[in-house]
Amino acid sequence: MNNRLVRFLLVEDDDDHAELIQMALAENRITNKVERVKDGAEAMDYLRQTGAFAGKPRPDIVLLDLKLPKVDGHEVLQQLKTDESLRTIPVVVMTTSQAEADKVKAYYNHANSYLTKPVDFGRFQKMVKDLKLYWGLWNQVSA
Amino acid sequence: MKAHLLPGHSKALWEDEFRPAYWAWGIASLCVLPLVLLWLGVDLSSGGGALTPEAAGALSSSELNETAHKLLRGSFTHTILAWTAVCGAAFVMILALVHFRQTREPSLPVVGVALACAGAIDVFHTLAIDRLIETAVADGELISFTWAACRLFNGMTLLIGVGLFTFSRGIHSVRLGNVLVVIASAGFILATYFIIRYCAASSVLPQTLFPDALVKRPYDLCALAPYLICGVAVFPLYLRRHRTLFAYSLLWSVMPHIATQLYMAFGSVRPNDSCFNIAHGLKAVSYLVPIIGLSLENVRTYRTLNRSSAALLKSESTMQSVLATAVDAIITINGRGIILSFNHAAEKMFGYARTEVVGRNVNVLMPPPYSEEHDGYVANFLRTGDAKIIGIGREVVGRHKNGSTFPMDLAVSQVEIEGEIIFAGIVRDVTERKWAEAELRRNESMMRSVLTTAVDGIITINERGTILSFNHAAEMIFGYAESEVLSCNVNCLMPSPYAGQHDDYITNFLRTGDAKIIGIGREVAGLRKDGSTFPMDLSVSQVEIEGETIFAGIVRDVTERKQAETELERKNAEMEQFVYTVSHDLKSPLVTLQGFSSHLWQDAQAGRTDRFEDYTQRIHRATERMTQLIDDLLDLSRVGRVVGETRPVRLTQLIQQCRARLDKLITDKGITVTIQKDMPTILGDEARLSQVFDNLLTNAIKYGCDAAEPRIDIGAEVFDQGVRVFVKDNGRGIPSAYHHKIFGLFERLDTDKSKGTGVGLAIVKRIVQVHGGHVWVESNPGEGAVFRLEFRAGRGVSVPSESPILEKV
Repeated sequence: MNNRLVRFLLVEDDDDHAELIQMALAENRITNKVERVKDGAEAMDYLRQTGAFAGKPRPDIVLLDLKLPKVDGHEVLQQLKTDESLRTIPVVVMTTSQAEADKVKAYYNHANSYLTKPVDFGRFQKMVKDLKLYWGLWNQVSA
Repeated sequence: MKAHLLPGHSKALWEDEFRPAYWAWGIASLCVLPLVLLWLGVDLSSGGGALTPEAAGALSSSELNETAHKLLRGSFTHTILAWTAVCGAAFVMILALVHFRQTREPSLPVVGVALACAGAIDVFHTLAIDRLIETAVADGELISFTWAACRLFNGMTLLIGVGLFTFSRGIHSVRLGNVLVVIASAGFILATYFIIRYCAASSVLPQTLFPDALVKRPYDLCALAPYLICGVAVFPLYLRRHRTLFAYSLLWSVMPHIATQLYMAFGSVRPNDSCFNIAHGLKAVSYLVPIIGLSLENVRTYRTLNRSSAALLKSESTMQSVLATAVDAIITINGRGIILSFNHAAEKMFGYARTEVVGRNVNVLMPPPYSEEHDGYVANFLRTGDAKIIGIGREVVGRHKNGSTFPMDLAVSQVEIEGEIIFAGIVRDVTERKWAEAELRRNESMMRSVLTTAVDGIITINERGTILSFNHAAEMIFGYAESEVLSCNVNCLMPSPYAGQHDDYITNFLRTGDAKIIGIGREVAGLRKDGSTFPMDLSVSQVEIEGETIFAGIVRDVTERKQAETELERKNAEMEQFVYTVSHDLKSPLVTLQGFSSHLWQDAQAGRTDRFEDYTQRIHRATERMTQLIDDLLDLSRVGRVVGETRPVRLTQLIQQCRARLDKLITDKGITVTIQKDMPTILGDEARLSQVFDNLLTNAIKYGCDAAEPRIDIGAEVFDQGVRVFVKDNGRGIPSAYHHKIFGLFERLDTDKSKGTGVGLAIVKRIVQVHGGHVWVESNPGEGAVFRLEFRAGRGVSVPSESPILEKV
């Protein structure tokens, strides 16, 4: 399993943020396979492999922004975690929101991790490192 | 007062002490005694014989003087006896007047005056016989005639005077009694004057003395008649009505009167003979008997008084202190209205010292006309037993020493002490109570007006939940009139299930004291007459009134407050959402700025330039976006805060201006825009409404014009409650799931952030709301979208209150 490429699904409406996250992931050599969707509706289509995303592989981890057009991150999280076939996919919430309500709601909906998008580069790197560490632990547990 | 005896009361205790019967026997004996003496041959005559001038000449001067005195011995005896009678009459009158002062018994002065008048004739009779005054006729006729006249007069006056007050039952008024006394006295005095004048001036007087006849003095036999009537009829009746020693003495005095007449009529053949002297002596006795009677009566009155007080003191020594310290005034009077006791409270209440009023008639404590009616009232009660106050008690008027009057409660009880009826009056000054009653009434009316004008509903119920009062505000709140709910159970004002629980709740509270509302106050639901429910603040207090628990509920309809609270909560939530959204969305470009500027710096250090353009463009766009966000936010906040002047806005013109501003975009995209020509005028803030249509048009251009032949239609229609405006495009449409969402702040359906910030429709919604209207979207995917705005007449600032509400352009 460690030899296989880890498939990331990045749910992010902001192109710039998506670029930054992907760059950070690449720099930390975490993965080389990142799929990106731009809103909650697309994310669900991707996960359920329907519509334009039919035949797409199931992601190993979902990086989920909360503020999304159409269907917001919380709803995506809730649908994902209540879907028998999808709920084992770990979800890392990545958002600019530091609101306590968002954190509580995310963990209530079984988010696996909650990361706040940092505004400075150093902290962004740290966030991705945390993600890496988390991912390693996750694999150990699931292996 | 006139009567001393209750009906059925036969004998008073004092009659045992003074034993009037013994006195009668004594007086009778005295009348018979001279007859016995005469029979035994005792000579009771005085003087006698005659002195001839010859005989007188033979006497020496001293012998002559001696003989003359002896000759005049009869005259002296007559003078002494007659004068004793005169003095007796005078004393009777004095004592009668004294006694009258105390008892106000009108027969007393009349008897006194009658005797005094008879005494006056006796004075004339005596003085004339003694030659101290000159008369027209000689000694012999005069002495006999004046005697007869005096006796007849005396008998008649006694009969008239006493009879007047014995048979006239109607004299219950003091004033009427006094008038009668004056009239009778004046009559007697006038009669006396004419009799004396006739005797003194007439030269011929009728013959009154017939020495040879059986009846020597027939005039005296005539005078016997009134005495007999007095003795048989008038005085016994008088005694029955006035059981006093004086009445007894009057009756007993008839005996010497009759004896006097008999001795005189049958015995006396000439002046100064035995029978003449006996008659004169008995006449004096007949005057002295009433003196003794009156004196003893006075003694008895005071002795009764003393004995009553002593008895009370002895047997009820505590009673005295009770009387002294009693808050109520306690006054006792006897059957004639004479005050016997007067306690401390009475002194304070009436302003009299005890010593000033004890012994006086109780009517001094009453203002007219009660003071005059009181004696009659007591007399009437004693005679008939018809009580107006005794044993009942009522409110009467009292009179203070200073003349002022005051309301008082009077309760009178009747007791018998040593055979005498005593009335005890308990008096309470009710001035303060009257004042308190007035105050109570004032308070009550004040409370009533407070209740009536109170803004809060005030409802009182008893412990069974029955409504006792329901004020005006409560009527307004619940829609019931007070008369409809009085004596209904209060649960008719509560919706179920509270209505069913209320009785149990009161019962439980009364048993356990476990209060859920009482003394606390809370918000509950109320039920109006029309069946609608409403939120109300209820605070309940509990009062004990005369052993019953009364609950007073103060009710306030809080519908409006609840609405305001809900509105406030909504606004707070909106504000929270706003702050949350703003903080999130404003942070987003910052993340971009920081991220790419850091990468740019890394590239610069590494000498890499290939990504320079890309990064700087991203940074530039993030900055622009940030600026746009801040501008839009400021715009939105202004929409919420500022409402400009309201004036009629012609929709057609306004929308045409908007279109003109966006002409370039429309032309570039090749969109056909049609604007209805005759749209109505509405009231509103023109600049804000302009912004609404700017945003809606922009929105349609941006997102609704991806068809092959894009078109936008704008129009309006008047409906019965206002105006509806629509902005319709033929674009791809909006899925129904997002119809509500799109009006939220920073909500976009498009992921391309360059197109907009997600504030435009939020601004539209806010402005329409501020105008009292609302906005929604109707759309199906692929069928275009219709944005509808509704402005209602009479709400917010959208429609003028005056006509015309709407007009065609």
